[in-house]
Amino acid sequence: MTEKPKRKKVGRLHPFAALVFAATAVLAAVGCKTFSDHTRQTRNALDVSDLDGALRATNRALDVKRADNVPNELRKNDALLLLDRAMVLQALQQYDWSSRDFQVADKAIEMLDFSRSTSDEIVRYMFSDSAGPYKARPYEKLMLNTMNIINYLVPGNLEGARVEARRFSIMRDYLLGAEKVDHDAVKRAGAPGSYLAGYAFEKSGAPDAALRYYDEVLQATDAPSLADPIQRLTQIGGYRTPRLESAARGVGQGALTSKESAEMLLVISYGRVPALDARRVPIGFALTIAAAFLSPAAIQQARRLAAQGLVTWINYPELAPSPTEYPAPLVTIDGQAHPAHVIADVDAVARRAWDESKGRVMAAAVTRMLTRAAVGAGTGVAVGKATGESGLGVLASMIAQASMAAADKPDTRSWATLPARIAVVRAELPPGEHAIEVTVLGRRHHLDATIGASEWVVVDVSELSTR
Amino acid sequence: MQHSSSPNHFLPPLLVLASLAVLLAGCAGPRAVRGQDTPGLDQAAMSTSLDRKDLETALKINMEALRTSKLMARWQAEHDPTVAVLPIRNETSEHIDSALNALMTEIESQLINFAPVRVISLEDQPVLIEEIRQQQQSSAYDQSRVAAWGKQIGVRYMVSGRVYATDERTESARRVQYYLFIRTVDVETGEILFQNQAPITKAII
Repeated sequence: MTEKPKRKKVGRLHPFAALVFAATAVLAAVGCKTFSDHTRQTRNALDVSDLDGALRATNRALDVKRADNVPNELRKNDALLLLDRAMVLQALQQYDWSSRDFQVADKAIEMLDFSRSTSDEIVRYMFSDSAGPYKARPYEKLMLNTMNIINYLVPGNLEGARVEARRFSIMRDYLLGAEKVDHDAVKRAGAPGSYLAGYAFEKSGAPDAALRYYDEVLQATDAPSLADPIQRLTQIGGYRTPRLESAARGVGQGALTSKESAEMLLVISYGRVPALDARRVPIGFALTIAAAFLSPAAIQQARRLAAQGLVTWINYPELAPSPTEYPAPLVTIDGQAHPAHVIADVDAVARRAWDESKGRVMAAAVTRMLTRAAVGAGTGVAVGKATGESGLGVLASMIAQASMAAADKPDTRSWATLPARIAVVRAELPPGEHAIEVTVLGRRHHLDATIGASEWVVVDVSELSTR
Repeated sequence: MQHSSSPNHFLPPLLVLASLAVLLAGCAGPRAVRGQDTPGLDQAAMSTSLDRKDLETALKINMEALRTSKLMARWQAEHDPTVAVLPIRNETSEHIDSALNALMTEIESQLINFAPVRVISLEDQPVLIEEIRQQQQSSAYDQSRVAAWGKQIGVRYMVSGRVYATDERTESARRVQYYLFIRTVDVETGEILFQNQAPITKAII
């Protein structure tokens, strides 16, 4: 007598609560911010060249008050946020702080690379790719040390630049020896690092090490600005390759640097690689992209669910629209034009890396969708049996699926403040003061540099906007 | 009776306990600790960089070698000759500059405390130390400069050092093998009177 009405009460209340919960979960899924949403303010500030605003945004994302603060304990995405702040600090010419952030991020990314957590893998498999710690892409690892070499070269710290150059080489060699890594992309992404590392060793008086690095540059791209230095270095160093000899042959004797002349290396980092945005794509389209990475059974199951109208969309990260072409920077030194040579198209490497991983990422999203469907069906059957009401079972199934869908955030993590392009100007100048003007992406940068006889200076210009 | 023995009866206390556990877990954030209050804190390696324990090990190896070297007998015979210690050069893949500065000061301390020498600190000669640091920026660092600096400072012997590293990486590990070289040079003749190497290995596995 007492039990029956109680059960009816449960039957009446639970569906209502379940519907509210399901609605909340779906709303949560819609409103849930991904990583690129959290870092959007930084990119928006960079787009209007508001570097102070970008710095404030990176500090907020890191949950610290000032640029000299580093989080006491790095959370799962803090290494990536530190890379963003390091780029902003470099653009602000705060090279010490930028270097500190790069170093902390470098160590953290290394530890994450070696970490193998089963629980992370399960969470990634069940819920979301963004659940686990961030694993940096090969080109990002190379660019980390590349950008940090600049932080040491600009203040003239060759010892620090050589340390970063060695770190860069260890990573490059490792990646070139690794399977499932696009070696051509590694060489292209590594070109600016090799260029700057070569410069550090050249100015350190180590011609053979410098020539080795310059040969790596020539493996990836033409570098007219290296012809003269290579010829000079081959006169004192013993390292030779056909590429180096060919580059050295292209220089006339008159082009060689005189002993009294000063030298300027201008490094221009401009544009930004495309960020990843969260998207929803129709299941049919998702299956087309992911087919090569899914089993026939999984594809069949996904098609069956789609045909039943149970699943129509897949959450998925995609590269945000961004320029594919950037006009070359215009550079004058003391009013005289100097050609800027692009040594890295980082955005093209980033696009290629994404295109290659897209199928796997989409397949993972489809697999998670199938897992949700299976868990939902199991929950529905269990609840239906326990309550004796099939309607409640269907609702429980929907709740389980909706909850898991809510947790499935597309993994939009990437180092999105990397410059799209890096160009260099290498100029032999008379000793003294020099006025430099760089026009890049419609913005004009004025700088002054003083160089003594037989001295060198590295000048860095960062314009990290995309418009 | 039946009601009280139902499994549901235990549910509320279990939920409270679980909630408490979650709350307590949430409170377990980072905290500041003192090395002497935390056994093993100074023993644990936290990265592939050089830490105090590594420096102590390297110093011990090199100083033991110096104690038993022929140079020590020579110093004893010369009655407190003057010695200066140069900054140690970093030729590794780690930013260990501050560790190497600490090591340089520690070498000075050890020489003051056990060797029959008078140690002249470079700290009082900032212009010279800047020149030395600038020279050390170069890979093609001229050893004959060491003798010239010694004459400039007015010392009989110069202690210098450098650290090299072999750094290797695989998919699941990284190993850095450091080699810390210490040498002592006669400023007058440029002759190397003592040289020793201390190996240290750090890894992430």
